[in-house]
Amino acid sequence: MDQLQFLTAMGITIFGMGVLGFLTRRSGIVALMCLELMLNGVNLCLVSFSHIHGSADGSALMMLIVLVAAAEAALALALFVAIFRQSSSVELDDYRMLKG
Amino acid sequence: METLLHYLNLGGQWAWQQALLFWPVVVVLFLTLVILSSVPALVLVERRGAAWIQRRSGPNRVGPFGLLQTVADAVKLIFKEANIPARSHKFLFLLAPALAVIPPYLALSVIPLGGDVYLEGKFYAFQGVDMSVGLLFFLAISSLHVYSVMLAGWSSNNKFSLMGGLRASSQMISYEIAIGIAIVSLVITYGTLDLREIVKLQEHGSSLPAWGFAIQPFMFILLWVCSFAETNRLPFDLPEGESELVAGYHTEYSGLTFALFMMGEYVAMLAASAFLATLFLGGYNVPFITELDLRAVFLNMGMDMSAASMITVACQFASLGIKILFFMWVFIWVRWSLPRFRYDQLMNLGWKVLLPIGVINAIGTMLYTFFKFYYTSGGGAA
Amino acid sequence: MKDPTVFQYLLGTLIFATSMLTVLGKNPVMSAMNLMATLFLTGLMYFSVGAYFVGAVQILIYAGAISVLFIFIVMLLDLKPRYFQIPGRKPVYFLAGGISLLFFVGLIVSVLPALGENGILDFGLIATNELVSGSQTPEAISLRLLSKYMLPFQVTALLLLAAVMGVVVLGKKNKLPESDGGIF
Repeated sequence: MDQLQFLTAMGITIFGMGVLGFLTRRSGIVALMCLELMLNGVNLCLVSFSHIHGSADGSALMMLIVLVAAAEAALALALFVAIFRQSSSVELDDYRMLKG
Repeated sequence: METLLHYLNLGGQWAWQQALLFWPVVVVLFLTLVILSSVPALVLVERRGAAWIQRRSGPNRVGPFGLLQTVADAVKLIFKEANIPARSHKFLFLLAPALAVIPPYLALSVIPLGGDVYLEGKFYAFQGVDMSVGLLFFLAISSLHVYSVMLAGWSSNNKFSLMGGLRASSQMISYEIAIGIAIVSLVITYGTLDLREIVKLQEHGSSLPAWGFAIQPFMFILLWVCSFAETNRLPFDLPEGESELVAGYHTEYSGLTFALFMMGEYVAMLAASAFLATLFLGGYNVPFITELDLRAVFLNMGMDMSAASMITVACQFASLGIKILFFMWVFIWVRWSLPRFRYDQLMNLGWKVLLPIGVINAIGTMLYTFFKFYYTSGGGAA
Repeated sequence: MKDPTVFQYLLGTLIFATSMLTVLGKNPVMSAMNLMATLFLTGLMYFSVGAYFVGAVQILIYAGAISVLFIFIVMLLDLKPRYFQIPGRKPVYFLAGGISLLFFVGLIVSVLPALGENGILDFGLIATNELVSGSQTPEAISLRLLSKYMLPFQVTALLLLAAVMGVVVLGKKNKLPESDGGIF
């Protein structure tokens, strides 16, 4: 097994873990953590592809993803704080009425 | 051993030359010794200095001039029970003190401690890890320091600890942003993220104006102020403000776990001082003489290359040490001279004063660098 | 071809364990701590293949800022572990497991063979043997960001500005007259 192959496999594993958590956990904040895990797995793959091709494209994309992830985490956590103020719960199941 | 080397991908047969593969380990062990031996001394200096500033005697009973006071304290702390409060989260409670020491210690490993040592026909950099992105690595690792405070606060199951942890995390995140903006100016000025390169750029005859504080004076002051906030020292020690929060995040700690927090604070101060010295006071450079000239002086005295380079590095390390001690003394001096900020004042200073100054300075540096490039390269790249 | 080192296998195991604990942990603080460990160890993984800049950015932003935010919010809201009981609806559970397993196996099957046995790496289509050292420097990445990816880069700046403004608006105490229910 090649090092870069190993990195890609790790990235895919982390992504799978993130998907699993995102689908099973019913707490908003932990679901958000699993979203970060998925992004992290994608980043790992991007960097290893970038290495394979010997160009900086993947790493540059990874920088953009990191920035987006930071913005997303800050915004989503602020949303959860606002939601918590309303009904003191961040359980996703408590917001079924949003289905409309 | 050979199999180990093989698995570590170091390859080849064991030989004396390959002991030098572990040169970074040697430097890091040296650094460990220096840190472990300097922390008790610094605690003593702090207590005697406080006494001196407040016109009292301070600890002067144990040993000559009270020199053995910290040894006595250490012995006392070792034999005290490390109490774990009921209904606390035990794993995180014990993890927090470890996280207080490890990040600043790791961060110190990328600081260049001296010039090049000549051994077995090669030059070796006297630096734990000679990393191409040392500046970023330092920031990244020292930003992990906040976890110790947060986890200690949360896991203690104590409302004062929790308040301290919350205060610390918001304070440290806020000041990290100011630090990041300040670093932007510095990276534009020096044009590299390599701390060793930065030190060498400040070498030019090692005349004082080549040092960073003359080139970026505002950022020097800004980073200096931020380093107080990052290490939770007065006037920014809100997380452990004893008049409001008992002792803040380490209220519940005793014995060796408390000693680790104490040690972590001093190692963080050492790391911040070394960082400031490296960026703004020429790092390991000896004032008014370059590394080559200094080595030539020792070579002319009849030493061989190896000995001369070692003595040069010793001089440079002493120079860095004096600069670090200067910053450490200012840490102590400020602690016993200034009162504590109020929390809103602290946040206002971080977000409304330091951050705008940093942004304006960064824009100014960018414009200056651009126009300098534009005019010196004859009308720009186009 | 360059086999993974012992260090990398160790890192991989640790990353697997910590990410699993993030997903399965009952206590949200432990989840956040394990998330931080996963992100930090991923940064070390980048270091181990020589992508120093990427690794430093990973540790600085992910482990140093985003996870701190998570822990901060969990501490602020004082989420108790009891909020995190897994509901006993088995079919959803199996469905989720199946979907993530599908993703995992599908990606492994489609990506790894293309890299490994008789893939790009073996044919030597691209020089990868010494993990190309010049390609991952800060200079190379920033040149890419400021030339080819200039538009995404600028849009990201706008996004960050919007996020800052959004967080400020959301974080403000509700100044509206007390209408029962608020947003919901």
